[in-house]
Amino acid sequence: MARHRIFSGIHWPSLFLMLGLCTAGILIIYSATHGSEMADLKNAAIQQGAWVGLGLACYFALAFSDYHRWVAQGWAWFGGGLFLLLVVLLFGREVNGAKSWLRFGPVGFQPAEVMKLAFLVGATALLVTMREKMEKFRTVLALVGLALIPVFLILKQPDLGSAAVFLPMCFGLLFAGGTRLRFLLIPAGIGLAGVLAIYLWVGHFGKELPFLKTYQNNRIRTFFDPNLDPLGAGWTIRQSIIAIGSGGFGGKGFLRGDQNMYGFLPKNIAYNDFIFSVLGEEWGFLGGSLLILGEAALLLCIAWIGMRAPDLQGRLLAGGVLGMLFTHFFINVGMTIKVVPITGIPLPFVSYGGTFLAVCMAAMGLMQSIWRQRRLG
Amino acid sequence: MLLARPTANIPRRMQAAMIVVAMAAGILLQRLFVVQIMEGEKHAQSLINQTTIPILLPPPRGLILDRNGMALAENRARYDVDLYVRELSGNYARAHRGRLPMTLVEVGVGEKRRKQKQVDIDRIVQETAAEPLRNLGIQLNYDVEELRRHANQRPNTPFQLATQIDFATLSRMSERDPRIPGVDAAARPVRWYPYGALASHVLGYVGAPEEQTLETFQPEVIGKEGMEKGFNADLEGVPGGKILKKNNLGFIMEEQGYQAPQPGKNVYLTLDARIQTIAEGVMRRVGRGACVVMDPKSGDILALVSVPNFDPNSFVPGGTGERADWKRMLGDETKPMLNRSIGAYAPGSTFKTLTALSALENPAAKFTPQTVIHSPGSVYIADRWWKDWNPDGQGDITLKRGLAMSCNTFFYQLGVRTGIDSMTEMAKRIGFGEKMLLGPDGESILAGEDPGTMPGKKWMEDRMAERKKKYKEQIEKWVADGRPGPRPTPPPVERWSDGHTANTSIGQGFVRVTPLQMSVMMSAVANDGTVFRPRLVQGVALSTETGVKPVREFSAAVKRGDLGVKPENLAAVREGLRAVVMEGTGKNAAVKDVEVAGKTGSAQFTTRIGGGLVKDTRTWFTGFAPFKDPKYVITVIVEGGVSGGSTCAPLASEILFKIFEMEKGVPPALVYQAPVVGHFHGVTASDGSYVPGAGPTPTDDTDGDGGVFGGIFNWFDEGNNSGGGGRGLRRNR
Repeated sequence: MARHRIFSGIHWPSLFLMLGLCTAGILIIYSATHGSEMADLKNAAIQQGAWVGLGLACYFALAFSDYHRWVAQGWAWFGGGLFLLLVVLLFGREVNGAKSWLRFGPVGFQPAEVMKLAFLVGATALLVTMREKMEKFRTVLALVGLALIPVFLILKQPDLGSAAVFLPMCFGLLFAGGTRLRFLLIPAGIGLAGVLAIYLWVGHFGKELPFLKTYQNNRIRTFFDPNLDPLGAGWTIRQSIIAIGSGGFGGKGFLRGDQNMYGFLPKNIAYNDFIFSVLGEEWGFLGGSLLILGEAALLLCIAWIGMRAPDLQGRLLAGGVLGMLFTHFFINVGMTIKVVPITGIPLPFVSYGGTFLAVCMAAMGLMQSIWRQRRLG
Repeated sequence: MLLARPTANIPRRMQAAMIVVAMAAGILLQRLFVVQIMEGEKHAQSLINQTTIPILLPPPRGLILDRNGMALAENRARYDVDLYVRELSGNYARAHRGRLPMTLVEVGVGEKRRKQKQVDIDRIVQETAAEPLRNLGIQLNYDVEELRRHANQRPNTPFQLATQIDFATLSRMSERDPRIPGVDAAARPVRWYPYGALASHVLGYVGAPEEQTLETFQPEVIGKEGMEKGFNADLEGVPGGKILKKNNLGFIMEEQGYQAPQPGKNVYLTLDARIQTIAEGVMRRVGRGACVVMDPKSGDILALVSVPNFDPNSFVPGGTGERADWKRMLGDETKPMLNRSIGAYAPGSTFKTLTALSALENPAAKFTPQTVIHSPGSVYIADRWWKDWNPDGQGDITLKRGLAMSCNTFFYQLGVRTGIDSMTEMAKRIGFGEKMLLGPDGESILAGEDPGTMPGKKWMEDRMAERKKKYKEQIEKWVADGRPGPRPTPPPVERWSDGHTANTSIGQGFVRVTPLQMSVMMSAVANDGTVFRPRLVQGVALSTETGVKPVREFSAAVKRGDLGVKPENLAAVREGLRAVVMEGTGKNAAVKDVEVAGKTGSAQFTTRIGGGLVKDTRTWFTGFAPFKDPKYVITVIVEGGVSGGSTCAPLASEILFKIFEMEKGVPPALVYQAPVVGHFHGVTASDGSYVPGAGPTPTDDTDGDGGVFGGIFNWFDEGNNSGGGGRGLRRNR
């Protein structure tokens, strides 16, 4: 009887969408890594499966807790996250030129990913205390100032992609919290205009930005035209497009991606940041569009939960999670098909990477917790 | 305002967020649709391009064989170190983070010549491949310029970094595989002419194809001349292929599909390698000349010789022969690449045979072998005196004596008597003035054949019309250009006269005949009047494991027509030709124990050599043997000879002698032939000092062409000088 009551409040669509995406992720990771000799890759699918298990534990733990409790402890979590970031800077393992891993025996994790969650509750706590001044600009400044602390530490690693996600999280929090729209839209407009200007200047007219080095200019130019340097900077994006494009409508079938198998899509990124390229090649437009729709549906669920949240805490949490996951989703998928420049951030629930997966599932657990206390009607 | 009530606006904001999510998904879906559905094909092709290496396996070229099945052109294996440019440079790029060494290379020709930045493929080769290959004992012997050009123009076909490595080195390379992506050992069939320069003008040679073709298959060699060119499509075969799958480092992962190449078809010639060897062996002695040996009963060409010649092995790209010195070959004024056996020459007295045939065939001429014609030292025709070579003349003589002594005054009168129309008709029946080596569809079998010239009234009218047209154009241009300089003078108008006829009747003036055409005429005389089409190719056949399968056959003894001369009259002509060798101008053609008949001839020419005009007499002998049952027709021509009787008849005699020796069981040794080097010795000796190898002294010069109207023109202006004749001389002076 009690059991029935508990589960009756569950938001089933988001749970199943999440599980579906996780399952797809394990399958594609297997396809991207099978037959590989490298130690890191060989057991990637099994490891991902284990992390899904851990993530589910976090999910349900949070889902059946009261989210207010976590917001109340928000500052502690935020402080703990910063502590981990400092530890990783001091004692972290350097992988691919970035100090982002903390290892305890066989298990390792990335504090920067944990920080996203810690920042979420910390920022929510901040905004809740400033709820009366929500329409003031200094609230915006305060939040951005708070975000800059972890961003600075993460940039020290350096991990530009992870650091960049804090900005849209702030955006989501403020948007859901009820700040004035112009505080959000004017900076966003300036940002967009800047991107457009760079496109016209560098990509279209072939000029150089004076404050950037030549190779940085080239990287921008390569984004706009990967064919300029097919073997160098444009290699990955070009190979990604070839992989996805060659998949056609129905794809080549599971484990049948030549582009991936023959290593044109670099093995060390195919199973995490470029997982969508593997999917696109093997499952075609059918699989690709299904994944996009799945991710989008999950994001809609979050927005829906945010809409039905009983209080400011719930709304803020939903807005922050929405900002984070939306950014990951859009940039990750977008970079593989040349909608946005290449930025190394994973696809939620699908890309290989245990810490981020667990963080995302925990975030979904928070959403579930909000849903269980939703306003009715 | 919404902003004033923070809690109230949240549902609207979440709705807006939903719309943003939906729009973002829409953008991604749209882009995904473009990439996968609209551009899918293109990307799939890129994938194929970068993961597969199509390797074309060149088919072995078909053989060219003589009538007895001896291969005159074949293939032999050569071991090379191949470089696949794209594999090597692609791999290098990845190993060096996409940075390739660049260099400035001059490209283009003439005004378009410019410096272009290109990948320094040579440096890449030197950095990656040179050292490991050297350790295997392989010295790279490629030309840097050639490598650059190849890498730029034909990156998909292998480039030979080292050619002709020996078998031991090859085995060492396969044992200790140096594993340089894009560098591989390969065995390939290359063209080989086992007898060197033998029949080089017939066989032709092979060379690298022109660079610009974008065909999927580009053969490594194509035929450039002769049979190699004319039958290239048959000889070439169908390439096979295999598709290799490679990974991003260029390593071959697997092989997809294999199709064996289909070897080229074989071409069977009518030539007899032994007779060709005999004839070339004898003709080697003269600086410039040609010889045709033909079977009069079928028209089969048994030997087609032209000297000087060349060694086709020296043209095979990357071949195993000595490399040809192109500059020397092209600059050589003796023109070793020219096939003289199908080049047109003034026939001189050999043409008297045709004059006799026309008169005997033409009832209006009222001429029989018994007809006596008074032949003094000179005769008066068309307002001038025409001299015989003998100032005393020959007196009252018949055809036999006229032919034997090659009496000019006899044939001047005979020619005028039968008329030019009759001679033109006879020439047409034989095929003078037309190409002879034609396939069933009228296509030329052997490139470079000259149709020759058979003049006549119609020919003269056409020539005048052409001249008039040219003058008209000249005037029009003169008017259009605003009349600079003096008005062009109108061309002289010539009409066919008896003088032209008389001149033609002794083979002087405008008439031009090829040695091959002469052989066809002599064959018809020898075989009782049937004109056969000369045959050089018996057929094309595909040689398979199960046997030889004919693809195309060119029938033997294809009749072109008849001379139309009564058998008894034809016999009389043959008697006359026999008398030439027995008691007349062609005594030197006699062969022990074999009855030879024939006709000598010589035509005086002026050649420009090194800027100066010199006398360059073209001397002829054409005949057949044995007299009773002719088996061989032979025509010999020598440029810069003294006379047909003294220069060519001995050569013909020696060739015939050796052929009959061969029939008795003494064949010539078939060995590798070095090319014959041309010279102008006979030319410098026009003062009488030239003594040909085996010939008698020039005092025997009695071909009957005592310098009357020698065809004089500038050899190097031949193409422009369709008129020939004496005009050139006047103009040159």
